[in-house]
Amino acid sequence: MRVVIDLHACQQAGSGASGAALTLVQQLIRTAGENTILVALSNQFPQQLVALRAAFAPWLPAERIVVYDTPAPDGSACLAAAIVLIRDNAIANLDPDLVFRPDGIEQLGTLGTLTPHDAKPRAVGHTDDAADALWQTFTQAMPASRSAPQPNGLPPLAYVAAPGEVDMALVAQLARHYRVVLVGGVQLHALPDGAPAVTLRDGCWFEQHGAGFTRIVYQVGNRPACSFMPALCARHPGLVLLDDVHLGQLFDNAGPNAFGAALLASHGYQALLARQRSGHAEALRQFPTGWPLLEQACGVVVRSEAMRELGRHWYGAAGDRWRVLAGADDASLPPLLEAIETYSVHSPRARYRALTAALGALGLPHDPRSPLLLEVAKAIAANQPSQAPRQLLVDISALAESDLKTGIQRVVRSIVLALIKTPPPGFRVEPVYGNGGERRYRYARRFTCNMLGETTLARDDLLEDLPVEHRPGDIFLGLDLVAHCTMQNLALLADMRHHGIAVYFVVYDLLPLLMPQAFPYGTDRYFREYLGAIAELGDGLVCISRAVADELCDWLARHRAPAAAPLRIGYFHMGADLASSAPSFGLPGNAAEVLDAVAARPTLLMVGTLEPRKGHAQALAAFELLWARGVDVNLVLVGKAGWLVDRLVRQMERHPELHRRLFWLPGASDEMLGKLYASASGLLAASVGEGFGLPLIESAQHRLPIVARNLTVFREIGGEHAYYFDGEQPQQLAAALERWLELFRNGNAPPSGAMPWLSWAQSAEQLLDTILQQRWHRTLPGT
Amino acid sequence: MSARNLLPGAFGKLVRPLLRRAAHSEAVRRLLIPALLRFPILKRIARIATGAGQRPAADIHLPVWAGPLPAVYLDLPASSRQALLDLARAATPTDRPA
Repeated sequence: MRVVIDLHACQQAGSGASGAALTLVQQLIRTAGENTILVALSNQFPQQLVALRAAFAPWLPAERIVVYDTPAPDGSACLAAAIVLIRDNAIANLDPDLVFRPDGIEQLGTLGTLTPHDAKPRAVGHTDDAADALWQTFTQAMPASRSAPQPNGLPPLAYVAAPGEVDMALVAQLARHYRVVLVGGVQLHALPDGAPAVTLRDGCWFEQHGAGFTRIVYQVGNRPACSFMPALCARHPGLVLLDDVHLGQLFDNAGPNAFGAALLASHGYQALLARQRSGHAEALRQFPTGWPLLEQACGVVVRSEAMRELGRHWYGAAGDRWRVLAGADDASLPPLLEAIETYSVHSPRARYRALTAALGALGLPHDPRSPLLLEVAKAIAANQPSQAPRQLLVDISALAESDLKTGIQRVVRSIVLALIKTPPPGFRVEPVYGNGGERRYRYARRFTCNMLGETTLARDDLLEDLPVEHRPGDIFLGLDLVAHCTMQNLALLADMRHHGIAVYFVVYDLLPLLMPQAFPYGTDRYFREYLGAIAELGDGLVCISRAVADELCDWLARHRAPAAAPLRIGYFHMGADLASSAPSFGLPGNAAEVLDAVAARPTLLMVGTLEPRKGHAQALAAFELLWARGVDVNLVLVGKAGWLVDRLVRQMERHPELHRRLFWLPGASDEMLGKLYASASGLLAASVGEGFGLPLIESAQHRLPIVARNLTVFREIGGEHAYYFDGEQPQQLAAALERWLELFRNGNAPPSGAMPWLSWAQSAEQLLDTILQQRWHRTLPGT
Repeated sequence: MSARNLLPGAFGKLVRPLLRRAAHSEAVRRLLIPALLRFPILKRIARIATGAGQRPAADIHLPVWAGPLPAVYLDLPASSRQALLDLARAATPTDRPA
């Protein structure tokens, strides 16, 4: 038995997560046994949702707690009636056998109303052992079966098919059970002798009059002539009878990028990459691309078990629900009739049609600019179940706005590429971006297509960066560091979490808090607010090293606000293969001069944006000491000028050794960086604070020896494969470098080649392991 | 082949945005679609272009309301946009029973 417990009355009464009603529901959940219980909550009381979820969490999986949307009441009778219809639709979409609605805490004496399908509510008496009594009542009230309703007389049925493709034998059979209106087909002469009459109409007529049909069948084949059906089915949803699972021809002739867009909608970016590898014709043959049509259908019927297998393979659970006709003869008719009758009433799309028709009759405003109609539309849409796969929504806001080639953006680009290439099973990876201001995140489709080399598709009007459709079970991963946008979207993200979307953030470091002097004035305050907010909002925070995870746990132990839900802290490591991070190409004008100098004498390479904490000033001063002592060595800096380094930049620009033994490449491409890694003598990692230290593993990949400051995070990554130094004075670093140069000349410098490093694919896998397999480093308890 | 393919170089760069803007212009559509429907020969061409007369022009049967859609429409996900239009249609007499 599947029981939905609708608690909106308790929420309305303000009882929230306390009181006898809640206790009763908890008792029902504990004693459910083989039965399935879903708890339905209204979005109109957001302040109660976290506590209510937490109250049921020990016994009920998160996906069985459903938050449905209704517009806020405004006192009008019309809207009040609309709210009831919308709520009932939302609950019907949960497919319950029974719905139980406690009346509210004040009236708990009567325990509530039990509403069997299509029956009037009746009161249940109060007993001490209330849950057991209720289960008995549920069992008695359980409907015997949910067979398809039987039609009376000859109801109208619209049969939509392409000209010349109509299965006239089937139409003739259907015409014995329905008044068939044949839309699009013009083959009356093909009707068998003695077949009942059918009416002919064209597509334009049906577009206007389709709302008058409860029963609609679309016969769809893999033919360009069927290309009008997706739009028509979206307008007037019906049962889709598939002649072929591969529907590429519907889109291939509809425009230069129509197939690409359908491919993307059906299978995600992974399919676009497959098309790049195998070519358009092979993709057309390989991938079924009917999702834009099938997601609009009330139900899908196919002609063979093999077709359903294909549907299962390509569309997962959605394909699993397809029905199979027994054959092409008379035996196929009963299953089709049953499917028509069932899907015409009991499918979510059929209920949606009925709901919009009922709301239309209520006298709601018909102007789509009406704020009321907007709110009603948003609520209805949010309550519709989706057959689409779960989404992994990856926030790449900063990268999508402007790729500044910072270290974090390289991580974001590399991880998102790895996720797109190898999405986790059952998930569709969708890069998204936000504009702040509580506006929905948008799919970053144009940016992602450009990143993947699908530039023509990215420019096509077919591809809109639509606002995200998030559904329960989706995951939002705040991969990019966009504190200002996240802070403006806190309510939006909280609402997503209320609706069953898990929210995780990646934490790159705590440096603005740990060394505020290295950042512009006020950064620490903003960063503290940001960190506090994501700790309060998120289901988990994933750090980029164990060292950062430990620092975060320490900081949260001192500063975390009381929270109802526990907070999980995990970590993963970065990747190192430049080739998988959409590398940039091109060499600077002085590339030959720099590479010649690197070949001429020992060279230490520093990689990273110039900022105070990176230790560039100390390094330059140390090298000045070395040069003064007659040590012939190069210092090459790769990275653009960041903040608070104006003096350092001026010093370097006027430095007598510039272009001799001191080189600064502010805009070096990944190609140039690769050449430097390959030809330098060692990497100098002089940072006084880092979240990870990507240059260390990039150096290891090139077997470049490493001289690194003795930091916990560098020890975590470099282990015994680097030479470490202490001290923040130039003399201390100069001495360490002299010792290392001596080791290097003798071939005794610690080699980095054996340092373990991950590819970006492995790095993304570690990240997914943390959030999907729940492999957390620590969990901070809720209150 | 579209105008994009026919217009080369710098001239194309200048003209393409104008064409694109024109194609999205409500005024142009209001002029063009009635013209296509008014004259049978043009209507036939329009039918050929839209798939053997099967694909109804998207704008023709939308319910009639004054002015453009609200700006907030663009901030709605596809399902909400669809619901908004379905509700607007359901509340207008455009949809007549069969």
